[in-house]
Amino acid sequence: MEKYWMLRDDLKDFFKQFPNAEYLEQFDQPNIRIPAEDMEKIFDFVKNHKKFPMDMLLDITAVDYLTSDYAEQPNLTGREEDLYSETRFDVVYHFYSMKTNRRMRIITSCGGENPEILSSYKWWQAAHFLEREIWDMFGIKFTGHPDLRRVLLYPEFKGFPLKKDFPVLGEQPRIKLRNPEQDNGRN
Amino acid sequence: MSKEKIPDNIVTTKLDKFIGWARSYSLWQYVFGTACCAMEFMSVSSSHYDTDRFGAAMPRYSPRQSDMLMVVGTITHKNAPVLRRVWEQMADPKYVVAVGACAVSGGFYRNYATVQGCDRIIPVDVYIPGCPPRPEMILDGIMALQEKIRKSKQYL
Repeated sequence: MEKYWMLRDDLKDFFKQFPNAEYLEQFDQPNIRIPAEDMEKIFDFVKNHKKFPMDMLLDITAVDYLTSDYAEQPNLTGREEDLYSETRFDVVYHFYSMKTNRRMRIITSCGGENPEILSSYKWWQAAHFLEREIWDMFGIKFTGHPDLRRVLLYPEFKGFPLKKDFPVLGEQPRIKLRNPEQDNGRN
Repeated sequence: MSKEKIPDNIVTTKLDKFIGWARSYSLWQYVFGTACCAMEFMSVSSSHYDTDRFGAAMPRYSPRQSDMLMVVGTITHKNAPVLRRVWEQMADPKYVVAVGACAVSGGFYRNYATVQGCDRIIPVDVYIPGCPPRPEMILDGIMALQEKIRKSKQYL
């Protein structure tokens, strides 16, 4: 455990700069929860940290905190305010420092009608595909991303399937489907 | 013509039966392998299980040269037009075998991304269930297809 304390002590200066930041230790890694407007500063800080430069972006993930009841019961009360809540999504950045073998996470929230967050492509180029995948699945827009397109789904797909209000069976076929029970001919 | 007049080295049969016999033992396959069933299928097509016994040992890497389309694995909606086009490129007579639970019915992928059985895209002759099917089941499926070809009317 000792190595994580070292990192936390080292981050002390940082917490003076950012009183809104929150330090957590979860799943054997230091986590920093930070408001979205401080993202640019914290990317600078972690990338160019004197002792533990986080030179590798391992992964970016997103979490939708809407309950999945909304997909099954579309007329649930309180739907609108939950759907457009400012803290609906968490975006989690996983970092690794190759020189010092340290890992850490940065968590931030976003939401609203069109969720938007700063792209980290300027600091880590690995973010290119990771952010595209989050756009593909959650519809979170990364401002400053050079080429934000769908990466796994096809371009004509409507909606974002990992959002909790996306219907489970929201199939969108690209070609006309046969009915195997009626249509047994050779077509 | 009575039977005694036909020499021993001449065999009589029906045209349909003869063509069916020939077609059933020259199934050149195109393997549309998309998922883990395709790994299992490798052991079927290699020497241990030896599909050469059924005349189906020749995987063609062009659908235009093949008779039997093996759909081995999950078909997603993104991939569906590709499978349809591969099938359309094959020359008649053509047969389709769906291998594995996903190709047969979508398997446990009941969601927005997966086609619920490849028979929603192309007509299927033989369904082989299993997740993945045992090699013996795939061989049994090939034999079932041969039986089907031998019994059916042959279009020329």
